[in-house]
Amino acid sequence: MILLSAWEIAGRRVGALIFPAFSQVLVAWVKLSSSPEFLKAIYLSNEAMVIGFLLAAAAGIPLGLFTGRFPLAGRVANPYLDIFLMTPTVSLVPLFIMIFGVGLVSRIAVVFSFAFIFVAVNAQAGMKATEPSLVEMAHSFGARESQLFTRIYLPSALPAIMAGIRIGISRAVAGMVVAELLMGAVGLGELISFYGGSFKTDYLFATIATIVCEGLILLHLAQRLELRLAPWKVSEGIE
Amino acid sequence: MIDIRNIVKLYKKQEDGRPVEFYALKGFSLRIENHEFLSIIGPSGCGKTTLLKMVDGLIPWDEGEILIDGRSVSGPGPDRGMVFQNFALLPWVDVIANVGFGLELRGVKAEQREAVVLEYIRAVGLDGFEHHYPRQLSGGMQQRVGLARALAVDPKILLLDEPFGSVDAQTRRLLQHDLIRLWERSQKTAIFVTHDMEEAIYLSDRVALMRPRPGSVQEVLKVSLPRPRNEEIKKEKSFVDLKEYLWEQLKGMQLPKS
Repeated sequence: MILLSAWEIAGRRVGALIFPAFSQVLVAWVKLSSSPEFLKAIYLSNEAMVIGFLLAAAAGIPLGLFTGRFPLAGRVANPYLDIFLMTPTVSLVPLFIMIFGVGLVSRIAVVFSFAFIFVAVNAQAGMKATEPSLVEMAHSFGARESQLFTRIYLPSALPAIMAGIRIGISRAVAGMVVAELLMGAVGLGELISFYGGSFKTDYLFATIATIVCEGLILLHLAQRLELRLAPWKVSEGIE
Repeated sequence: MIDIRNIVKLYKKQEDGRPVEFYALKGFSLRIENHEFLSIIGPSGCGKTTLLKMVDGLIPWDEGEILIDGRSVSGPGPDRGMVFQNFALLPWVDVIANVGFGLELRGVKAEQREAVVLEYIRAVGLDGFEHHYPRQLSGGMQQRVGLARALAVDPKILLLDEPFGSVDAQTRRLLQHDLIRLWERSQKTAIFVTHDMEEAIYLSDRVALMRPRPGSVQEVLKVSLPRPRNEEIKKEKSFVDLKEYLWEQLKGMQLPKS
């Protein structure tokens, strides 16, 4: 409430062109949300985002689990993971355009490259942090490799995997907007550049607010999932 | 019978940048009879936990042999059950699942293990806590879970690695009391690693005194106190004398400062 009041006051002083007040953004948002173009933009954006994120999770989690479980695999893979981690992901966008052209596939690739590495390194960290005394205990009671994985390593790594998913979601949302801004003319990114270019700042803010809200809802869902899967230990991390 | 013959364990470590080898155990020999309760006592760092984990098949050794009823130990087996110093409970499941963990690994279905699991939960005095998670239990209760888990697989040999080392003194005495009751009823073979002299004498038929660097058996002492035992025997002269004797021996064994 305090934040919203401050926003309202600041907006009225600075002026709607640069910094519209909360009430103006709200009016713009209500108008937007009833327009079919806006709904279509949300659908287009999310198509790339959801597919890209799911692919990132489907590839990143197994890779992280494998390289975290077997130190040799980790030593082989980690230099590459480090390179990926350090590469400014935005700089890959021209490459994707060259390979995939401008379209859904290309946008999925951008979202994937934004989210993948964070999902993978978190899953790996979770595996590595498995308590050695629990592994020893399971050995003592005769656990086979598959039992070690399902009963010790996987539950141990689960909170870290979920933390990776949460970071991955926020990165996927960022990747979605970046792809649309740099590849031009689709989804919410198109609306952002259009409203920005035509100085409809209240609509620009409303679009951004929509993206933030969606991101928060997804994070909340991820946390709900984490509470169900790993109620014994809810990881702390970015929200 | 457990026959430990001339065990040698060599560790390599870095010291001032160059590799140094040292003997964790050298010429360690000991025999434990069936149905016997034997404690291994020694100063910290003497290799007693290492030896116990070798008997469990968790740690390899360089020379020598460990035979259980004539068969050489090559890995963990269903004839042995271990109780760990740090409890090693699964934080993500409740008491029932923790106690049943060993049976679960052996493929015993949940319905079939329930009766056994509940029996041992009762035996260690944890009835009413079946659905608690480890973090909701005190240290002493957590080790009761560890003990029930080891007993639930019904091993012939119980291996206990300083099981009461990290609980407070009062809880420790209660746990000792309960362990001695459970053991007297079960007549399992038990090897109990500890650095507590009173605990070693109170529980054991024999106490093996270890010396450090390299770890080996200095002396095996027989505890000729009648069973069933209770706290009263701690006041008897033979108990006090034995304790004094152990202390005299251990006093001279302080590790050189390193």
